[in-house]
Amino acid sequence: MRTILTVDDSTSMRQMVRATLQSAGYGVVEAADGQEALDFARTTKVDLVISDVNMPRMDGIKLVSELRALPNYRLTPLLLLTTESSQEKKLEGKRAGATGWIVKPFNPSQLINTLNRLFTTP
Amino acid sequence: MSRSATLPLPPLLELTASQLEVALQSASSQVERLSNSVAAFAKLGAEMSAHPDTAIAAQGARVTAEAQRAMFAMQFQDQLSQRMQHVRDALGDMHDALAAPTPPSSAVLLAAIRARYTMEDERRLFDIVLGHLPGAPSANADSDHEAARGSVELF
Repeated sequence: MRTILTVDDSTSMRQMVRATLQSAGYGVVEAADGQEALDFARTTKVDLVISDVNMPRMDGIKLVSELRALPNYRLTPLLLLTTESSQEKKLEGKRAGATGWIVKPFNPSQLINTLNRLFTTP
Repeated sequence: MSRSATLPLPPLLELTASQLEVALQSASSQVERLSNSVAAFAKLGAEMSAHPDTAIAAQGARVTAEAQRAMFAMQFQDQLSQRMQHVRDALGDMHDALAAPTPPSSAVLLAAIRARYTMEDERRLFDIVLGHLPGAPSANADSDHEAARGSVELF
């Protein structure tokens, strides 16, 4: 089973992402901010990360650049899921090494299709 | 005598920010309960969908679809919560500015308030209301974010 790390400071958002992913057969682990996610990733490899951008302690863009510096996460898909829709922020995410940008509210079936696509694309 | 000396502005700002905070906390716990229930329905739908009985599996697919629609709709609460947090924080910034022995300039204060925004339509509304952009406040403020909602862009 593929495992996905979801990172969001909103408990209800994490619950909804978790429910969506589990209904599609993915395993899910959660973190409430970028720092917690990074601490987890330093010891555990997951198959994909979905992170919010604006969070306390460490934001999602910083998390992406920190994860890209870890040997285990150089090629791991890293998606940012956020209310931010500005091109400037998107570009910041892309430069940090994000794989993609999803604007909230996410459509559950579209999210699953995106993940399935990422996992089947070589 | 200044206006702030006659009107109790700092405590009023603090009161309003506190009321928003209480409303946010109260809504948050209820939304967490609701999202927990929706997540349970989604799980049930997924389990039913995998059932060998095709009638049960079809029913499961319907439960899953309904749960997904509910999950999409519930995310607007997350946005509402973020907007309210930004309003609360702006009130806090104004309170601190009024209470400071050396208040910041209005440009510094406004820049700090604008920097807290996380949605394009919040920034746009701010710019329209404060005269940096043409247009009526309610005319176009939501259109950009509305168009971007749910969009997926792979780099």
